[in-house]
Amino acid sequence: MKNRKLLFLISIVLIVVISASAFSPVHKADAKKRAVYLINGSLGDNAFYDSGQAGMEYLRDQYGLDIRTIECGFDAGQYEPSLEAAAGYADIIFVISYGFEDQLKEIADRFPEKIFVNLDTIVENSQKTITSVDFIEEESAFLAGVVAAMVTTDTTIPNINADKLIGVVGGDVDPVVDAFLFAYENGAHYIDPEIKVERKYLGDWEDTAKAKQATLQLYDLGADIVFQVAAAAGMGVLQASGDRGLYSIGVDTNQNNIIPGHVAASDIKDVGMAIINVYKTIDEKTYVPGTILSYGLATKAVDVVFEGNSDILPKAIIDKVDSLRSDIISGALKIDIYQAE
Amino acid sequence: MNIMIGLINGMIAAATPILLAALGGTLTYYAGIFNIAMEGMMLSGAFFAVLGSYFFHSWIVGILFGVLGAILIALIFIFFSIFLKVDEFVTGVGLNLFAVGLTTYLLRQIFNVKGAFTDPGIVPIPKIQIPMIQNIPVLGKILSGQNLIVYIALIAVIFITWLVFKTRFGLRLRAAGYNSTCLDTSGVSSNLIRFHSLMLCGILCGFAGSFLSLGYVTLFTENMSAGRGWISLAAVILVSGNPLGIALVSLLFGFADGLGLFLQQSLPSQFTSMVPYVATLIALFIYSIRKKKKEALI
Repeated sequence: MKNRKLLFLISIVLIVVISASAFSPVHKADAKKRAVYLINGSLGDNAFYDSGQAGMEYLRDQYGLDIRTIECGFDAGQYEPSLEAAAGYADIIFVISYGFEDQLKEIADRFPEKIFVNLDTIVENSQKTITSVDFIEEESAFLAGVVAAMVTTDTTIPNINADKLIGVVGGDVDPVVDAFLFAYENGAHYIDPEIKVERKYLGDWEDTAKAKQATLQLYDLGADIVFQVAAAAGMGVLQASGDRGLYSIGVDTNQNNIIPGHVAASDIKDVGMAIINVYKTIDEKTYVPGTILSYGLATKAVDVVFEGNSDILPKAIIDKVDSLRSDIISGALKIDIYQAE
Repeated sequence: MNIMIGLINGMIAAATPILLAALGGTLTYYAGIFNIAMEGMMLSGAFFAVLGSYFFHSWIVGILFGVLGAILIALIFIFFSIFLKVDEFVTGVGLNLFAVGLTTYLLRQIFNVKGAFTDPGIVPIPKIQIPMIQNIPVLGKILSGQNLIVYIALIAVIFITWLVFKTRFGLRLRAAGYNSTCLDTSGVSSNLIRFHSLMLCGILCGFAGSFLSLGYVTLFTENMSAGRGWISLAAVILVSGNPLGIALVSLLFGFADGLGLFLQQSLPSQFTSMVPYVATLIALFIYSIRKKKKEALI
């Protein structure tokens, strides 16, 4: 009996000692800044999240930052603990916060001295410490629509039929995807108002087989080019274009050489460049918390690129996109911005 | 017309992995094993199929590796449920989670990518053009030009029907499920029969996984089985293991999936996403009504 009591006491002491040592403030040997890249999904989409990771690695190499990436893998249960961990560890938190905007506001209010940079959506907390990077995806998606419209009306390109129909496959109904779709339609109608745009939503961001089936249906309807806005599932869209000898448009990063000769262009959204740009302002001490930074074509954070597409498009299309791009940047052409209902 | 052919081909493609896994599940169902590990076997099969095809530049090696990958999960299941007598449900849940972790880990270690692995070096399983038949106007586009695995699945339906109902092994298989003590006392080890049924289930799930990653699309994404193993389990239970019934139910599931996407022309996508599940509920309802009527007759 006595032994047991002793054992109990010893274990209590041990627990206290261990936890005290674990939670004691870590001695900061160098003033290395710590940055966390916190994402709601997972890396490996060859697109959106990965481009942010590339930006973080650039910061590590160029500025000697201590970087960490926390992936929530679309698991809502991970959002809050991940935010807590990030806020506790880092000085700068770059966060992609679909689905947990409220928790982000709360944490940002509790840690006013930390720098929170929210990417891709606009989040404002009551203390106005979160800076939001808002990509004007409408500008590049408009150009993607222009490309699609000019491809489907140019029957000199191999396998293009006379139907004025183009397609788009979205991951799910959400404001960012709908902004893409809205501007894609506007871009297509800018070239030819008679063009019809067929939409398919997968309700899933990872099921490549379903994405392929949706794309094949669009091709069966008579579309000859399909724009994918479906993250990792979008690989199925690109593969479908290869199978049918038709065309697709990639998204978020340059996906033109994934299926050579069939991905006509990519609508890039360079999260990494946004991260680097924001960090530069932090480094130069010009960073202002609580602002909204709009990154459009002018900053090259969003764009439509043709590199690596095996030169399948006629020069006329590329020239048209170039001239429209400069019109948009100069303000001569106004792009409608999607308003979520 | 193109749209109809597209829908039917989409249905066949979506049904094939479900059908193959469900045929595996029906063998274990008859053997009296509550096997829910088809999801994990399929996922493991899909990963190893890509691995084999990529490193040996051959789809045959790909299928072989896919089958071995699924058998790996089946062997673990056998070890725990038959040898150690652990609860089958717990083993199955554990293995399904294990397969997700294992394939994700290996994907990152071997191919150094996260999420999805796609490469021109992965050799897909070929489509089979049947001479004569491919020239028939409409039917030719459906009956011919399907992936090799689709034809294997068709043959598997017939083979499994024959195996379960017309062979000595089938008799023993059903006896193992119906009354294993009786089988044991007649001198046939029911554990051995269960071992065989699980191995066959692994082989069939390996084909299902190979079809997912080398047939319909040529890539591997994390968790790419996406619940198809669970749907195959539902198919087995729905028709009490009848192979022909399983083929019909699989086609129904496949059709509902494609129909859901197709109906987006006129309905909001949130509604069309429900189609496969509504179809399942309706099928369950019809099945239970029929069963009740039958029982009333007896």
